[in-house]
This record gives sequence, structure tokens and C-alpha cells, in this order.
Amino acid sequence: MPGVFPAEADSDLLEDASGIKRKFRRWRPDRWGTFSFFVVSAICLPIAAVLIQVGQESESWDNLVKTVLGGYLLNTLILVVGVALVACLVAVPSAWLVTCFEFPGRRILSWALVLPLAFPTYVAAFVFYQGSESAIPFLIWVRNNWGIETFLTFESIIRYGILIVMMAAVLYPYIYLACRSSFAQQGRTLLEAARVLGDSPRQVFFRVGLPMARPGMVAGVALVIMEVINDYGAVHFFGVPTLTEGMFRTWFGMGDKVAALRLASIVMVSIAILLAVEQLMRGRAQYVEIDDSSAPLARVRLSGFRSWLAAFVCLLPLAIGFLYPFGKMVRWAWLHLASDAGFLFSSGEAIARGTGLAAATAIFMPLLAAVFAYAVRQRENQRHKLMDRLAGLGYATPGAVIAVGVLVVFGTFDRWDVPFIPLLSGSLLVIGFAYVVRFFAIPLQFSRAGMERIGKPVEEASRLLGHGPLATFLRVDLPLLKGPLIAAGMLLFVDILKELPLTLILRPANFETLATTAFSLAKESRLQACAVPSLMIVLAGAIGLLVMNRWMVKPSLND
Amino acid sequence: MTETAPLLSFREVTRCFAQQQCPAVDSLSLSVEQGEILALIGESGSGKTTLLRLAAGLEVPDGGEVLLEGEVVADGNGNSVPPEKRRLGLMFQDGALFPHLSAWKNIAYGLRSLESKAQKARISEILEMVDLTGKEKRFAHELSGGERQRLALGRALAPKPRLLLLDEPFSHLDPSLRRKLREEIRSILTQLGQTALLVTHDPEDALAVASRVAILDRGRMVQTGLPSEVYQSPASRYCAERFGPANSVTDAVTGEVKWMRPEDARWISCEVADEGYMTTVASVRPMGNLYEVIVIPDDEPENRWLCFFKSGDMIKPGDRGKVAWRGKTDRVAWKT
Repeated sequence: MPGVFPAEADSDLLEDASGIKRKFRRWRPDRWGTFSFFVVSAICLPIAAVLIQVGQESESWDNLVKTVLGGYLLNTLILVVGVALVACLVAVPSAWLVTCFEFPGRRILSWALVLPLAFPTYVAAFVFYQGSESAIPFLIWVRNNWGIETFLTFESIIRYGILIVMMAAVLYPYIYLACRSSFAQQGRTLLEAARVLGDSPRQVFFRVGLPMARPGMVAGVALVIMEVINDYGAVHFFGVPTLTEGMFRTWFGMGDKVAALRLASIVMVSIAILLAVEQLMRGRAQYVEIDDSSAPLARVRLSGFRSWLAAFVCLLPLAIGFLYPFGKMVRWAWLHLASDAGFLFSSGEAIARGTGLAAATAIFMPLLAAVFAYAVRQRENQRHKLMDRLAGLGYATPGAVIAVGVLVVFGTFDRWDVPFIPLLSGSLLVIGFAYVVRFFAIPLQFSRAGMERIGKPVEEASRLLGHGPLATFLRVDLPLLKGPLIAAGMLLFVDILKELPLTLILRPANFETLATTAFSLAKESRLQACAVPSLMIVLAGAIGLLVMNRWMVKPSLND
Repeated sequence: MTETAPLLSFREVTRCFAQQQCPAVDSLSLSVEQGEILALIGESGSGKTTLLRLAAGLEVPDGGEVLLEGEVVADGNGNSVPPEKRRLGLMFQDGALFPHLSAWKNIAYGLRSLESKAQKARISEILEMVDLTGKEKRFAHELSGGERQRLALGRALAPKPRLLLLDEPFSHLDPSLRRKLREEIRSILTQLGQTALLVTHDPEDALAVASRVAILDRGRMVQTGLPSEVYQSPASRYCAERFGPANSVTDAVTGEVKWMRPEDARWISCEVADEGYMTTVASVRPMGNLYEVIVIPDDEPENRWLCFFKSGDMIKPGDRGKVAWRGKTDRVAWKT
């Protein structure tokens, strides 16, 4: 009823520089504000828990600093720099070739070059580790002729080399996609202008194409680095202990929680630095767009030797990152199923639980994200934008760090005798919560993009036609968000099935996802058996790529 | 009650946006009386849309009060009756139709308090009023631009709002469609006796539809009155220019500055006439049915007057002659 006001509010008068008295309303929590605040706190809690507990007493930390910490840092750095460099070297030329030149197979290669993204790093690692065994005769020859020292050097060079090439080969599509869309979209007229002004194609690449692709490239590189830091399976397999592997060893091997948390906070600080650098270098480009639909560039037709060279340059990463591991996997899976077809059913129940939880989370999380995005939209002030950003924080935090943080939070609740918590510990809810923390940015990004498309006026029209905020959400926003939310759900389902480090740490007894099944089989050297769940992950990943391609958004790290 | 309160009134309303230095609406007072159609005119950034949103409850004032039928619906302390409780209608710039609902359901959206029979009757009535009968099953993207706007109008009017707010309702349409729709909306609104507040930057909208005009400049109201009054006696250059070109003419006797429309100029080639201002012709451009002549008044060599003359084929640049300004008697400038 008119004249009936909500709760009394306080306001304060501020005087600004020009002396005009302005009234600013204090932020008042309402239902929507309270809800979004609650969601953000829940998501930040495990991440904050890591940082808060760092100050506690640790027995092995000093020892750890003296012995292995340097190695962890160095390994992480080598991998990050190596993978980023190799990935750039592969991704940028192939993106340039498929957008600006015409050569045999270009159209297929243009989208096929994305396929390696369907391989999680640890799955590719199973194949490449096995492949690296073919170097053994050479290494034996080295040892026999040049001695043990040289042998060790060669062995680690080969190990690190293969690991770097392998990771770059499955992660380069992040950079490829970013470069391809910036070459194809913003560059188009400018590239043509540069040609008309008399630059050769090579000059255009260095003088126009590359500088303009930089923001997207930087964003892609940041995603690659995040994946490298996040990886546990591949580095474990290759015996290259990084910070993430170190966390596993310290907590679950040595039982020193605080030291593990300190490692986790080093990881988080490095990522914060990475993101700050990325933000600085990326400038104003907002997100990586995956879209090849814009009018095609007038491509330069290559002929003869040069056309085959171009095709080879583009085929090489595809072969290493997809064709080779995929072929191997199919062969192994075939061999295994031929000999032991009943295998699939033996661990069926555990896998069904994991898949069921992934599905449940993938249905619940988009709805939560939609309500959250709507709640944040109710007030477009600074504080809410900050909350929006904090809610997506988990996407930039490695899974192992989140898992450790979740353990700390539930452990603390346990000690404080918070009711019902003992029932929760080790249950599906804990791991489900961790998935929400880790992946909330994905449905949030989809919801936000969807609501942007709906537009404020449509919501306002609903308000003026007598519907309150909640009715407006249910009757206008939710039906219109159906498409993006389903897409987000599919992407989440795939991402949860693939997730390894977080799931390994938090999974309850008798709970397996495709990822953990594949990993434990691979650890037992049952590579043929492990190919079956691995292939399923890769196929699910391919579906995820299709969804991503259709919806053209990939959550960026920063917002 | 002997005296009815105005339907909508703003009392010293102020609204600041955090990013901007000056307030979007600056202690502005204005009322909309029952039955009138008030047009708010101003440059972009003059605060006219903000004022409309304040009326709708989509913005909350930082100071002052907003009243609907004498009841305070928003005060300066952050208290505000939410839009859904104000019983107002709003027609948006681009229609803001619900893309997932048919025309029928778009109209039904605001009628959920009616029982289904009454709802059906009302929807049919509205469809007929906005001339969309037979198209009720179509979705927004299946309607033409004009049909979309008519549907938006019908949707806003369906719940019988006490006040209809129109936010640049014609700005996305091409000129001919615009003229047609303007006429349709005007006749619907006058038939219903609907009180309305229209925001526009197009003077033609205001002149054609409104019964009163208010001109806003940097968050303040600078002039209000009947459309013809505001057109003919603008209070300032800003007000004058809202309705097209105007010339500043300094009264030789009183020294008062007045604003004159180009079509009010009269050319007197006889230099000795005791009427008008002595000028030199700077340029002549034939514009089809009239001549666009720019003259330099002798008294103000810095100034340029734009004049439209019906016949100007014998005027050439460099000619000297007198320009007299027509208008109401009190505005005729006499030179002695």
C-alpha cells in the first residue's frame, strides 16, 4: 500500500569537494542482499580458511623449506614457463594460418584444433608416460657409454620435455581460440587495410595481427598457466613434484596440515600475481570469445610446398594433442573390453554415485547461480560488484587448495560442535559443496550473460505490471534463462566428471568419478583398463566443447 | 474533499548518481494533474528519464518527496514504495515486451488479479483498442515495429493504471511510422482520458501529443506551459532550441533579449521603413518551398539570424535591407 514503508533506514549526509551536500544511502541488507551475502561467504570461507590457518605452528615447515620447497617452486616455474611458451609457439601460428590463409584441410583443422581440450592433462599423461618408455633403450645406451651422471641428466630432460610438450599439446587450444577470434573479428578490416598499405602477409602478422591479438592471448596464457598449476595427475605420474603435488605429499604423506596450507597459500599468492599481471596486460578485453561466425577474411590462397607446410604446422599440434592419445586410448580400450567386458560393471555402483552427484550438482548449481546473479542485479552498487567477483573466486583457485580449505572448515565446525556437522563430514554434501565453490563462476557467467541479454527494461516492465522481484524472477528471468542454464549445467557436468585433485581429497568411501577411476587404474599400471573411463571423459569433454562453442562464452578468470 | 491533490507531484526531488558530479535531478518540483498529458523535454542527460523512473519507483530519490494522489510514495531517506505497488503503467523505448510470451500473454501478465473471465474480456478489449485483434498468438519478434509498440501500450494500459509513463516511445521507429503511431496513441489516450507523463527529445512528439510541456535542463525545470506557448515564447536559448532554430533579438528600446523563430522573420527591402532591424544578407539557400537566408544585424555584428522567407529569389548575399519580426503585439520589436 502506498505510504507503507519498509524498515526505517538511516542515511548520512556527506559533503563532497564542491561543497554540495549529497545524501548517500547506507547499504541496507534486504532479502536479496542477505542471500547473496550468504552465498559469497560460503564460497569464500574455504579459501579464507587456508589463509587464516597459515600462522599456526608447523613441525615440518622449516625442514620442508630447507629440503623440498625449492624443488616444488622450481618445478612449478619450469612447467609454467615451458608449457606457456610451447603452447604459444603452437597456438599463435596455427590460429594465424587458419584465419588468414587457404590451404588443404583448413576448414576441418580450424575447428579440430580445439579438440585436444577434451583431454584432461592427467588422461593425456597416461598415454605419454607409456610412450616415453620407448626412450628406455636409448637411456640404457647412454648409461652404458657415458655413465650414470649423464644418464640421470638425460632422463630428467626427457621426462620434463615430454611432460611440457604433452601439457602444451592439450592446453594450447585456450590460446588458439583467443587468437583465432581476435584475428578473425577485430582484426579483419585492419588486417586488410595493412595489406592495402603494402605490408606483406608476414609483416602484417608481426605489425598488426600479433599486437592486436595480445589481450586475448594473455587471457589464454593465463588459463593455460592456471591449468598447469591446478594439475595433480600428470605431474604425479611423471614424478615432477610441483606445489600442488607438494600439498598432497605434505598433508596426506607427512600429515602436516599447516605446512600444506602454507604451500596452498603460496599457490594462491602466485595465482593472484598471475591474475594481476593478466589484468594489466589484457587491458580492456573482457572475455575470451569463441566465435568464428563473423564474415570470413579474404584469405590468401597458398599453393604447392607452402600450402603443405601450413597444413603440417596445423596438423602437428592436433596429432600430438588429440590424434595420438585418442588412437592409443581407443586401442587400449578395445583390447581391454575384448578380454574383460565385465569390468565396466564391477565398479559400476561407485561410478554411478560419482556421476549421480555430478549430475545433481550440475542441476542445482545453475539455479543457485541464477538466483545469485539476479540478487546481485537488484542493486548495482560497488559492494555488490565485489561480491559478484568474490563468488567466482573458486574458478581461479586450484582444486586441491579448495579441497584443503573445505577440510579445514568442516574440521573446525566439528571441533566447535556445530550441530549436524559430524553427520556431514565425509558425506556427499561436503564434496558437493566443494564443487560449488570450485565451479560457481561457470553458471554465474552464463546467468549473467543471459540476464544481460534479457535487459533491465523487461524486468522493470514486469515490476510495473504488479509483480514483485521474486515473481519477476520466476515468471520472466527463469524462463528466458532456460537455454544458458542448461548449457551451464552440461558444462558443469563435464567439468565435475573430469575434476581430479579436489575429488581425490574429498571423496567419501565407495565413491568414484570417472576421473578417480581412471587415475587409480593408471596408478596400478592397468593402462588398458584405465582407457575405458578415460575415453568416456574425453567424449564428455568433446560434448562440453560443443556446448561451449554453441554458447560462445567461457568464464574468464577475472570477473 | 473540495480540492483534489495532483495525481503525481515531485517536491524538491533530488537524485545523484555516484559516478557523476552534478545531480541528475536537482531539487525539482513538478505536478501532473488528473487527465493531462505532460511531456518532459530536454537534451539527453537533462534528467527527464531519471524523473520518469523516479515516478515509477525504479529510482529512489536522494532528497525531496514523490507523491501519488497526495500520498508520499518516496522520501529522501531511501524509503520508496516498490514499482509493483504503485499502480502505474510504463511504456518503454523499445517496448520491453516479454520475448517468451505471446501477445495475449504479454497483456495478461499485468492482469493476474482478475478472474479468468474478466481477464479474457479485458484482453480482447485491449487488443481491439490497439488494433491487434487476430495477432494475439504472435510473439514479439513476429510483430512489426509499430505493432510491438502498440502491444507495449496495450500491455501498460490493461491494468488501468492511474498514470501512464511513456519513455521515448517512438524513438526506435522510422519517421512515417512514428507520425502514424503518435496519432494513434494520442487518440487512445484522449479517448480514455488517461493521465500520462511522456519523456521525449523530439519536439514534434510533445507538440502533437501533450497538453502541457515541461522543459528540463541539467536536472532543473526551466519552463512549463502549453505547447504553443512554450514554442512561441521560449524562456531562454535552451528552451527555444528544443523546438528547432531560434534567433536572439535584442529589443532596441528595452534591451530585453527575445527568441524569434526563423519563419517569423519578414524581409523589407526598403531601407527607410520605420519597422525592423537593419541587416546585411550573408547567404541565401533555396530549400524547395522557402529560402533559408542568414543575415547579420547591424546592431550586433557578431550575431547571425536565420530567417525563412517564402519568396527570396531576388535577395542576394551582400544585399542590405530590414528584417522585422512578426508575433504577438508585445513581442514585435519596433525600432525608432
